[in-house]
Amino acid sequence: MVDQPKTNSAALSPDEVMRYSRHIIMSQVGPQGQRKLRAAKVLVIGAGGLGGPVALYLALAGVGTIGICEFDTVDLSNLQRQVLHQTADIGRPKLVSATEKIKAHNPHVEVIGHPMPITSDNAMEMVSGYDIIVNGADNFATRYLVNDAAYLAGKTLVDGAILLFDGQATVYKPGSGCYRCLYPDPPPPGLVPSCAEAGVLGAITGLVGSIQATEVFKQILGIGNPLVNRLLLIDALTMEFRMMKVRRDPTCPLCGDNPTVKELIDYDAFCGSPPLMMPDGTLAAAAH
Amino acid sequence: MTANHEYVEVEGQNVGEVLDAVEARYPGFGDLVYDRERHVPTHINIYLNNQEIHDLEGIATAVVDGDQLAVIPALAGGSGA
Repeated sequence: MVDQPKTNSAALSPDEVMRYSRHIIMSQVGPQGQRKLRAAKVLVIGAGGLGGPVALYLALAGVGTIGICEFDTVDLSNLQRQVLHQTADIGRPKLVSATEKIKAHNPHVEVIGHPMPITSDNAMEMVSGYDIIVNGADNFATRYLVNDAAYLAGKTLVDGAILLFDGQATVYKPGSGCYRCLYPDPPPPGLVPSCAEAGVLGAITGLVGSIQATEVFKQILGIGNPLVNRLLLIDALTMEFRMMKVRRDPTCPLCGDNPTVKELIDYDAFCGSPPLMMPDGTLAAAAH
Repeated sequence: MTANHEYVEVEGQNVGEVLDAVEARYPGFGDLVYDRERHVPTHINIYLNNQEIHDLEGIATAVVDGDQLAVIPALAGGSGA
């Protein structure tokens, strides 16, 4: 039987104290920090390669409310890296599969499903219900969309990306730069391959996803030195981690001194990308 | 773009010369780091040591012996099929 106190002020139950004891024993967390985790609301974009380990570690740590935006179904080719889904889930909605696994790991957490693509029409409402946004989308249109929505809503964005043996991770806090400061324009369509086209080491998803989850915990707990204004580059082949400086660009069209992007735009047009295909073969208004 | 070499050692007085030296050794490299107008496109960041060259003097930024340049494109892999 799982008790359901979800507010920051309610005391931790004996079950919670035992479950999270390895966190609570650390001075940087303690019972108060664990209550902060329980009260936190985090939105994860996608329940695939990056979203899977992120959501899993958030759930294990007792982050009280985890939103997941995911409309895809589980494919056999996902199982090389997507830890939330198993062979028996092939063909099932990823959101259903992910929710089952998360609840099985920790029934204390609430999972809020958003079974649709995030679009310019729903993004602001979706992100507004959460404290922190975690992005690991597999296309540039969604990355710019989530960046803009998070900034316009005043939310911290924990960003991660992977390809081949490489990973990138950073944190954007409103006022400290954004994805557009780092990459003002998307690459021409087709120039930067996707994981489906070029491949990706399965384990790199866990590496980058764990880093993203760690940054979420630090934000919630208010501890450590966040990956703000810093871009972590990971090369799994050499196992080198490099830290690059990231700065807010005063000329950024979103967060610069004279912004021109004041509301969400048509991101498919911005990125020159084709509309997203839904699992049933219909076209989705993916990022516009 | 550099025949799978993680590191390439070349000489040059500034970032542009270093990129040109890499291109001379690996034909086609320039097509990936420059656009048609011979500008570094904004989806590619070039870091001198750990600082992006747009925060410095672009490809005119001077380099000294031992400096490291990293050519880092935007990645979009993550959650999804």
